[in-house]
Amino acid sequence: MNALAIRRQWRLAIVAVLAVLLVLAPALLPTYPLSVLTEILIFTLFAMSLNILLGYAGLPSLGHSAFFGTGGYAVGLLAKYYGTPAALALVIAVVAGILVAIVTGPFVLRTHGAYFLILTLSLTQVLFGIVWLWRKVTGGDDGLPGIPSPRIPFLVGRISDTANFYYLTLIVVGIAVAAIAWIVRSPFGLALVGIRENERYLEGLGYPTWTLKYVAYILAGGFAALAGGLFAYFKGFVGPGQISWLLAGEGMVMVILGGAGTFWGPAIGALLVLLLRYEVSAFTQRWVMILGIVFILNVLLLPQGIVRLPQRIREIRARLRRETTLAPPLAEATAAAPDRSVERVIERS
Amino acid sequence: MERADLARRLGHRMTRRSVLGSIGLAALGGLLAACGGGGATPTPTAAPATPTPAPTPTRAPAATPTPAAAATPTVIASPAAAAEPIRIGLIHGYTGVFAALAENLTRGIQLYFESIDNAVAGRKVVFVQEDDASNPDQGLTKTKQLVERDKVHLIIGYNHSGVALAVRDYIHQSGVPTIIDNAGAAALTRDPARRSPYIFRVSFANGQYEWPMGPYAVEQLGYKRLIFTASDFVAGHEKTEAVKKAFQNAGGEIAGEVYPPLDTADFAPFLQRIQQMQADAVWAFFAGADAVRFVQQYADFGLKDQFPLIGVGDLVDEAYIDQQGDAALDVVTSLHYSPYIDSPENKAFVDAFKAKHGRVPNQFAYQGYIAGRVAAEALKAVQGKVEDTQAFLKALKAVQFVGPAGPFRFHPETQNVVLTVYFRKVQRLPDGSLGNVVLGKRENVDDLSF
Repeated sequence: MNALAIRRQWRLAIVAVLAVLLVLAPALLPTYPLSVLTEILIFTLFAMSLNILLGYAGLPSLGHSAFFGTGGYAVGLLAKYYGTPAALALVIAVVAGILVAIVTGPFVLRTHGAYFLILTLSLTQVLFGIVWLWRKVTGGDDGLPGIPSPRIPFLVGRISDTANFYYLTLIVVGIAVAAIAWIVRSPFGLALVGIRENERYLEGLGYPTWTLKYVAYILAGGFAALAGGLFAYFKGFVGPGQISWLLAGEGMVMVILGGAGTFWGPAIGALLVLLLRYEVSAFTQRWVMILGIVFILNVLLLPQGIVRLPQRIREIRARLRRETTLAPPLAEATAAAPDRSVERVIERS
Repeated sequence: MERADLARRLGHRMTRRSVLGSIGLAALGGLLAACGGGGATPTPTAAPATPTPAPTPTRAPAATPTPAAAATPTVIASPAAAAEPIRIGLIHGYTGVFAALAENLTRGIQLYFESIDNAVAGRKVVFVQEDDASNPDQGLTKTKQLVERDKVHLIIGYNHSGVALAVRDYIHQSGVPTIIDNAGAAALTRDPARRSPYIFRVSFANGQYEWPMGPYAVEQLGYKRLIFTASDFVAGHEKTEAVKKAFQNAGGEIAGEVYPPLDTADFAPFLQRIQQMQADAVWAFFAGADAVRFVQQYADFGLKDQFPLIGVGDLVDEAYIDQQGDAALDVVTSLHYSPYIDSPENKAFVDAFKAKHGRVPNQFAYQGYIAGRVAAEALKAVQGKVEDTQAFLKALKAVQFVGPAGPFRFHPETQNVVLTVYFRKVQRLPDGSLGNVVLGKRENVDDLSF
C-alpha cells in the first residue's frame, strides 16, 4: 500500500512537471517546434478519444476519422460561408460529431470485432465519398483553404501567433483530456472495461451494455470532432485527407503503440508517431521505412504499448534477480495476466 | 491441464522475450532519444551567419532523391565569397502516388543548377529537400519547417494543388518568395483574392494548355462534335471546363461527357458509354497509371478506329509512352512542351538530361528545369542579394529568357507563366521509339485567356 501511495505521488509529480513544461513551451521553443507540439496536442486528443472505444470499451474502430473530419468540415464550412466565431464553431463541430455518432451508432454497434471494424470503415468511406464528390460545397479534393485561425484576444500582440494558437489548443485539449480522465475513472468508465473483458457477464449482472457502448461511441465522436475542429483551425485548411480512413488507421497506430486501454498511452503514441514523421523525414526520404521498423520493434518487444515501458523494465529486472536465485515461474504468469490489450480485443473478434 | 507444465512453458517464453526485450529496449531507447533530441532542442534561431543546412546537391546522385537537410551542421568556408550560401527549399511529394513526378521535377531543377555549378553571383546555392507526401497537412508543417527552422530564402516546389492551396495563406503571411513548379489549381493565380505577390508559377494553370485544343480541333482537325472524358477530381474538371468552353466558342458541339473516378483499373463500362455516342473524336485527360490503362484499353476496345483520340499531353507522357506502345500512335495532344521541339535551347536541354539520366525528359523535368532557371536568373539580377525580398520579387517578375520551349515570361498581374502551347502527334521516330512530334503551336497563352 505504501509503495502504491509513493507511486501515485510520483505520477502526480510527473504530471505537474509536464504541465509546467507545456505552459512554458512557447518561451522555450522556437516557432516551428511549437507548431509541431500544437499538432501533437491535437492528435493526443484524437488518439485519446479513439482510446475510449478501442482501449476501454474494446471496440476496434477504423472509422474514427469520420468524426475528426466532420468536426473539421463543420469548422471549415462555417468559417467559409457564415464567418462564425471560433468558439461557437467549435461547439457546433462537437455537436456535429455527436450527431453523426447518434445517427450511425445504432448501425455499427449491432456488430462486434472485425465486423465493427468493417462497418466503421465503410462509414468513413461514405463520408469521404460525399466530401470528394460534392465539389461545390466541400471543394472536392482541393478542400476548403483559408480558414482564419482564431486567437486568444488578450494575448494578441504580446506573443507570436503560433504561441497564441498553441495556448488556445492547450486550454481546449487540457479541458477535454481532463474530461476524458474523469469519464474513464467514473463507474461508467469501469463498466466499459467490464464490457471489454466480458460483455455477457456484465449483461448478466444487469448492466445495459448496449446503451453503455452507445454512450461511449457518442462521447468518443464528440471529442474526435473537437480535435478535428481544432486541427482545421490550426492548418487553416480542411480537406478529404482529414476524413480518410488512413487517418483513422494512424490514430489506431498511435493508440496501440502507446498502449491501448491506458490513459497516457495514446498521448505517448501521438508524440512518437508525429516526431518520427516530422523529424526523421527531415533527414531521409526513406522515413516511411524507419517508421515501419520502429512500429514492428515496438509491437514485438512492447506489445502492451510504450506506456508499459517502466513496468516492463521492472519485470525484466525482477526476472534477472530471480534467475540468479531459483525463479518461481508462476509469479510471472500472474504478472503478465493483467496486461489486457488490443491484442486480446482483436483476438476475440 | 497440468498447471506446472503450463507455467513452465509460459516461463520459458518469458525468458526468451525478456532477453529480446532488453536488446530492443536499448535500440528503441536510443532512437527515442535521438528523435526527442531533434524535436525538443531545435537549431537555435541565433545569428543568421551560422548556416544550418549544408550539403551541396552536386554530390547527390539525382537518381535517388537524397536528403538535403544535414544531420550535423557543417560550416562551409566559401571560397568564392564570404557570403553565406543561398538556401532553397525544395518541397514535393517524394513519397506517395506522385513520387515519380516529384523526382522528375527535382531532376530538372538540379540539372539547371548543376549547369551553373550551384553558384550564383559568387554565392553558393544549397538545397533543403523536404517531402510533403502530396498531403496538405504534412505540406503545411514541412513548409513551416523550411521557413522557420531552415530559414530558406526561396521555396521551389508543390506538385499537388491541394498542398499548394493549403500553404498559400502561410506563404503569403510569412513572405517567402515561392516558385510553384507544378500544382495547377487555377485560383492560385487567376483569382485576385487568392493570388499573392510572393507566389509565382512557372508550370501552368489548369486549363491553360488545354483550351487551345478546342479551337484547334475545330479549325485544324475538323472535329465538330467531341466527347469529353477526364478523371473525376478537381483538376480533371478544371481542365475539361476550360477546353469545353473554348471548343463551344469555336463552334463545336459537345456530344457527351464521361468522368471515371481516379485510379480506375477497368475503363470498360466508361468506354461502352463512349461507344454508344455519336461524335467525331474523343478528348481525354488522364495522367499516370490511369493514362496508361485508358490509352491501352481505348485501343483494345476498338474505339480508336471509331473515334480518333485527342487530349492533354499527360495522356501520352514520355515517362510511359513506350509502355503504351502502338495504342498511343496518332494520339494528338496539347502541352506546353515536347522533347521534339526544334530549337537549339531544347536540344541542349534534352542532350544534357539524356546524358545524365539516360532518357528523354518529360514535361515535369522541363518544368523543374525552368523553375531552376527562373530562380537563377532572378538571383543573378539582384547579384545574389536574396535577403532584399522586395527587390528579389521585382527581379522574379521581370525574368525573361528564351527557354527550351520558346520565350519565357510571367504575366505581370497573375505572376503565372505565359506559355507557348504545342500541338503534338504521337509518331514512330526513325530510331523506332515513340515520340510526341510537334504539329503546330500557339504563342502567348496566359492564364487569363480562358
